[in-house]
Amino acid sequence: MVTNKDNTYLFLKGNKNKLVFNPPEDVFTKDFTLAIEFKPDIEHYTKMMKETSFYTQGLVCKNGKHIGLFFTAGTDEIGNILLKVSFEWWKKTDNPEVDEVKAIDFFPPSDSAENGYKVIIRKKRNEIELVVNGKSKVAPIENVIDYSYSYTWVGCANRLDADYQHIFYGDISKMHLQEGLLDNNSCNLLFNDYQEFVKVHALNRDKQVIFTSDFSQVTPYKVKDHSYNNNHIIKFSKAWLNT
Amino acid sequence: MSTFNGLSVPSYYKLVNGVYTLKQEYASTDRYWISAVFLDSSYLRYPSHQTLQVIPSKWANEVLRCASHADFLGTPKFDNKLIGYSDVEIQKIKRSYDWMVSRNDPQKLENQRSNFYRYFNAHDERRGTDFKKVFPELADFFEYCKTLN
Repeated sequence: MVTNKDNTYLFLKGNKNKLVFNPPEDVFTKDFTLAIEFKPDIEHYTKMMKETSFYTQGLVCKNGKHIGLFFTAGTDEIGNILLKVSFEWWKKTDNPEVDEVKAIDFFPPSDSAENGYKVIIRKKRNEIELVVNGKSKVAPIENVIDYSYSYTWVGCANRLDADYQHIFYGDISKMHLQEGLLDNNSCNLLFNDYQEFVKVHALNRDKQVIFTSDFSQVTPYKVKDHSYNNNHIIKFSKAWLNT
Repeated sequence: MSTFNGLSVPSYYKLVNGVYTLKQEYASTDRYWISAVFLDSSYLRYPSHQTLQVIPSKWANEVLRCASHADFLGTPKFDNKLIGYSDVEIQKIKRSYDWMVSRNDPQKLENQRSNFYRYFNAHDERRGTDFKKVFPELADFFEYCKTLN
C-alpha cells in the first residue's frame, strides 16, 4: 500500500464496537515484536534531500515525544548518500523535567532502497533488537516514557500537528505488531508466506497480536487487520476525525 | 431486517459483503442518508431449537468474523454522507455473538438440539427437502442431533 500525505493511518482509540482484544496503547513500553516490509519512494526522498540534509519518515510511530520506526535519507559531509533505519524512543531521566532521546540505528547501503527493507524490531525486557534485511543490532532500552495517551500511526509519526509529521512516502507491503516475542523464523514467514503466517500466528489467540496485514484489503476508510484482533486501522482525514 | 439464527451463520459473511455492495451501488446524495440499505441484524430467540445458541460453539468465531468484517466495511464516523456499515449495524452483529456465547444450561441445550433434529427431519419428510444438502456445513451437527433422540 502506498502511503503519502493523502494516505496515512492510525489505530483508533476507544474500542467502540468491543471487537478489539488487544489495544496498542502500551505496546512499545512492554515486550513487543514489530515486523514490517517496506520500500521507500527514492524519487521523493532524493527530491526532499535537496531541501533538508536529513529527511526522516515515520513507518510505525506514536506521537508526542516520538517513538517508533523511522527511515532517514541524507548526505554526509562529503555528499555521499546516507540511509538509516532506526527505532527511536524517549527515556526518563532522574530529572522529571528532562527526557532523553535514544535510538538504535542501522545504516543500510546507499543503493539498498531499491529492493526495500524487511525490518524486525523486538523488545525483550531491557534490550531492543533491530533486524534489517537479516542483519541484527542490539541496544539497551529502559525507562521509556509513558505513551499510553498517544495515537499509534502507520505511514507517519503524527498528523495532529503541522510539525513533526514525518510522513512516509513509499510502499508498506506487510506488517505485524504484537506484544511479546516472535522469533526470526516466524517473522520471515510473514515476509515469505503471508497466508501461512496468518494461519499460524495472526489467528493464534495464545499470542497478544495487535495487527497483521498485507494491505491487500482496503476500503476508502480502513485497512483490514487479518489477525483475530479485528483492529482495522483507519485512514487519517480531517473529514471524520475531530482534530 | 435480518433475523440471525443458527442456520444463518455459514452464509452471513456473504450477506455482509452483499449488502455492502448494495450500499455502494445504490448510494445516492438525493437522500439525506446516502445509503440505500441497512443491515439490521436481530437474533432469533424463539423457537429455541433454531437459535444461534444451539449450533456448536466453533461457529461463534464465524459470527465474530462477520462482525469484524462489517466493522472493516464500516464508516469511521456516524455521518449521513459516508458509505458503509454504521456502528448500529456492526454492534447488532456483535451482540448476536455475545448472546451466542452466553448460553449456560447444558440440559436445556441438549433438549434444543434434540428438537433441532426432530423439527428439520419432519420438515424434510413433509416438504420433500434435504437439510444436509441445503446446509452441508451443518450436516455433521444434524447427525449429532439425531443421536440425541
